[in-house]
Amino acid sequence: MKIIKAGQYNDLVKKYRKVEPISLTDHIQLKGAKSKDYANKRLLEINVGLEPFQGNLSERQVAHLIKRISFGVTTAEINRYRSQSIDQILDQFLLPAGNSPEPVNNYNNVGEGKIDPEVPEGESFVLAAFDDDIEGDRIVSLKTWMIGRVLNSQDTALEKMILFWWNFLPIKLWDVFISKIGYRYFKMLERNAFGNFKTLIRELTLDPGMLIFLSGAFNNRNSPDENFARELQELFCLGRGEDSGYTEEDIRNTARVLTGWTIDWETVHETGEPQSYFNPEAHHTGDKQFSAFYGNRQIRGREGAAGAEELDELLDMIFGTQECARHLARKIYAFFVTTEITNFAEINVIRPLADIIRQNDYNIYPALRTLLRSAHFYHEHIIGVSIKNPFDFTLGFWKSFGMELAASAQEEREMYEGVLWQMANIGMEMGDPPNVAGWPPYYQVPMLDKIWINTDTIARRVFLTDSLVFWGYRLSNRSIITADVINFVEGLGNPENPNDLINDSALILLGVNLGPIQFEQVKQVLLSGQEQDYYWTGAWLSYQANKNDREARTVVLNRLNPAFQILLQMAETQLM
Amino acid sequence: MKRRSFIKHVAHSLAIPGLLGGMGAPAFGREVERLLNLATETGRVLVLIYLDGGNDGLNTVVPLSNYSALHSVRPHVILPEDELLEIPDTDFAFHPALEDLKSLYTERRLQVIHSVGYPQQNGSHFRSKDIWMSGSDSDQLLNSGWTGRYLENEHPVFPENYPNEEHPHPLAIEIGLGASMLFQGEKIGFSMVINNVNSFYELLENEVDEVPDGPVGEKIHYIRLMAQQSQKYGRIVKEAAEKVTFQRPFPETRLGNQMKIVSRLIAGGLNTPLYLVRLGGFDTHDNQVDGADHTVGRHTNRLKDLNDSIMAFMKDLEYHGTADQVMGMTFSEFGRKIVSNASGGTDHGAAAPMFVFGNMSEGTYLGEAPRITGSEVYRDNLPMQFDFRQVYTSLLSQWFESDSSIPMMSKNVSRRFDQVPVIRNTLTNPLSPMERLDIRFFPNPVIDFSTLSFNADGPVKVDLIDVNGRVLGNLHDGDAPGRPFNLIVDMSTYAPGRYIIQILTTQIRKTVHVIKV
Repeated sequence: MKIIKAGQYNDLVKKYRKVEPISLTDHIQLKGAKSKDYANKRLLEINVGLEPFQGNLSERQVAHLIKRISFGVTTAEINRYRSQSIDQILDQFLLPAGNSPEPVNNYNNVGEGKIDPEVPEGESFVLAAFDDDIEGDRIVSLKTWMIGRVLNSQDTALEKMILFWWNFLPIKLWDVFISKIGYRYFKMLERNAFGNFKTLIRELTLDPGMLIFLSGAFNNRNSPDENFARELQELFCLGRGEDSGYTEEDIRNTARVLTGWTIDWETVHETGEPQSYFNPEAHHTGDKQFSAFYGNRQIRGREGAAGAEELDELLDMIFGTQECARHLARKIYAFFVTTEITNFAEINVIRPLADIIRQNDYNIYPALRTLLRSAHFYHEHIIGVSIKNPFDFTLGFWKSFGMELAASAQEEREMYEGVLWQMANIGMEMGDPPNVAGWPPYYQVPMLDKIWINTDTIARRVFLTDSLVFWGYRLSNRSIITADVINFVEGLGNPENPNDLINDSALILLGVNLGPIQFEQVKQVLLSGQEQDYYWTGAWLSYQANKNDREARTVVLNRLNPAFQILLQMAETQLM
Repeated sequence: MKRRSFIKHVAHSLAIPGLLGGMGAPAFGREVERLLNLATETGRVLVLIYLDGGNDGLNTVVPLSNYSALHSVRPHVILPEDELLEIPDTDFAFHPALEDLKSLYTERRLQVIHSVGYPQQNGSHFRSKDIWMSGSDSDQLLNSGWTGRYLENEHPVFPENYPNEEHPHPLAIEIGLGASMLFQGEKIGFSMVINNVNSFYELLENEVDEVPDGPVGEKIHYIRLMAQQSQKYGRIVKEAAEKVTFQRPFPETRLGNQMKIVSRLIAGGLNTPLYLVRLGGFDTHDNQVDGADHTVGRHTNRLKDLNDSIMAFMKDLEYHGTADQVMGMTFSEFGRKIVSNASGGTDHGAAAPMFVFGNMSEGTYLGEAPRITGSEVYRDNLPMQFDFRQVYTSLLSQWFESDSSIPMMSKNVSRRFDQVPVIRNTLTNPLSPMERLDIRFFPNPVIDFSTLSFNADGPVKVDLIDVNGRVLGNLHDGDAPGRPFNLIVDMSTYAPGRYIIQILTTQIRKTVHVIKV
């Protein structure tokens, strides 16, 4: 059976990938220092750790929590959760995945002579046999399906968790180029989203997507491939912190333990779920000796099918280290709190969090919950300090403004492909981080999340919001979409009062409230230069009194559009 | 916008002191000097000054024909007659704060257009502002501006591949607030927005507004810096501004600070044709004037800012040798009621005067000062004499020499707006003696007959026109019989008032302002 290697179809990919992946780190200076050396000095002023946050959450804090654990926040969510406790909110948001529809063939195009020979239009392609003629289209549809999931998600942290894991333990869909393997990988992340890290790593090790992406499928006794063995320790389980002491020899021996795990290529080329399996013939049967970091542990080599048991022994060994839990805790902290990790956070948040992770045998739920209800998480220096990644920015805007959604799975491709490439243009393509380390803003010192913003990406971000508010944004050759600003404003608590309108909008759309100068700027535009608030109030109430009055509507829109344009151009809009 | 050689539009650059003089004979040396000043190709500029809130036209350009009637209907705000700045040979006067505008007027560098408005005046600030900005009918709902649509016609693919070699500079710049409707096209906005005066200087210094305290502030600082640097036109504007190391003094006022920036960018060689600046605070429902002294108070302060800023602007333009390429225009969403209110103010009205200024201004005035009878009641408004869209089309046609009409300037697509003279005659080449008409008209003012004398070859058409632009009669049509061509003009049958004689040759159009007494 024909094997498939990572990147094998790169030439073919060019046909589908409408946006060349951009590198955000080409022009910045990279230094090999530890992240904590580059943390913003002012973050050192935070003097609270993992102890529970006391008191009731303010609306800003509710918005903060929801933005961090999902994508954007809506006025409806604020209204629903503002009087609830953190625990009540988390009970809702941290529920595991339920059933969800599969991605379907929405890529057939008779005009272009593009027809999936196996999957009828509207049917799921997640078990379809590999077909290089149509695989690229299936992958684009898989990506737009993922976008649709985020946009349709309600009251859940699930999609954010999937992104967390994808960024942390990534494959690149275009490198793998087998849609059903990509889907299987996604389902693995979904299934384990709030679950057990060790279980996830075990499944990841055997995941066909990862076996292709880091070439584990080709790791055998005769020609060892250390690619996955290295990243398993360097990126996934231990990191390269000062307390991480695995050696090159450990990597070699890890690779040996993993020999034999490979893909059943038949399941790729035939209809059905793709499978991996253990091939004893390819397994290195010798003993594997590990370093002092692992307590000089030896994993005894096993013959035949028993060779598969070495994997669990290896994982026990790795997960037995203190560093493993700390590494995970750091990853969680960087993703949900801030990429800038201070010494204080390391000692008072990350280490106690790691203890909780270990006490719970790597079930991450208790740790996640403790972090999200900690005093540290709600500190004023943390609220708004993260720069929105392109998904938070784009999909968050989509959700906050209640933008139009695809009416069916059939429509998703048409509706969301433009969004897919838009986000790729500002540094994040769904399903394809730049490399196995994930997106650089989550780890690359010294700039960290500032990497998201450069002169090109900021212009594109502003162009997106400008277009959505003003002239409409082109989703595809056939459709243009516009944000319904009036509808958004109507949802706010007190839209006839210009001050409330701006503050309530800022709560939803901006990471922090506007300073007085910026607030005044937005208000001046909303009042189009008038000095009295009642001019806006009058205009708004006239429109509310008769929504069929086109003139009243135009007057309101001609104020709201430029006001939201300037509001969304504020630097604070880029924060969450 | 049509490309044209600079030589064409520096014609008749000299601001000629004196009233109704037609074209005198400019000192030749000075004109050459001016041309040398304009040795680099620069485009024409129109600066739109928006008087936000509805400027009280009757206290800006005050009709004098029936002052006592005016006094009786607006006692709470009336300006004392002896404080007014009378405009010679007219029946109106300027507000005492407009001393410099008066001198510009007498130098024929400022034109008063009386009673500009639109039919079916809308009294809402928002709505009327939108109508003025969009250039629409009163009941036509648009969300784009008249200059925005004009620019969209001229630059259909903007912002794709802009700036480019042919159009390296912003197409429009506005200072203050956010993007106004004025420069919004149907599909895209055309202006570079400088949110406030500070943000301009921050751009020059690579600084940003003060950020909040704490780590969030550090992020905001960084993002603002990136946003500033990403402004496609930021670097270009910065470079232009940096070429200018000296400016004449400007008043440290809201408008003064904006006009200073505009002048600096023009002097720095920016080819941006359109600027919008704003001066707010004209919504004077109450306390428009000081109760004890009507010549001071809120409205006076605004007009003084307008006066001082325009004068400083003109002087700075002169200093930098850019005065001949710049025209300015004031506008407001409406004038105010004829009858004043008991709060010492005036309420939303209708038509009001506009100022069009610049060295190339046609000068003098159009229309007539409003007639007040004394029997006006609260609801009465000044009738309009000119539709504001006439002024827009005239400026586009005469100043930008654009033959493209602005789309959607009325629901009636075939509706055209008659031009009024706003720009002084243009010559193709002022240095060629052949092009010097050397017009003289004497005596002026005229009782019965005067002599019109000018040099011309080839076909010439001479028309007598009233101040509303209506042709009253043709005085000559055919080849000029000799140099000079002396034409006796019979004015005996015409009523006293102001008239314009227009001379059209194959290349140029010139006018002479005539007073019939």
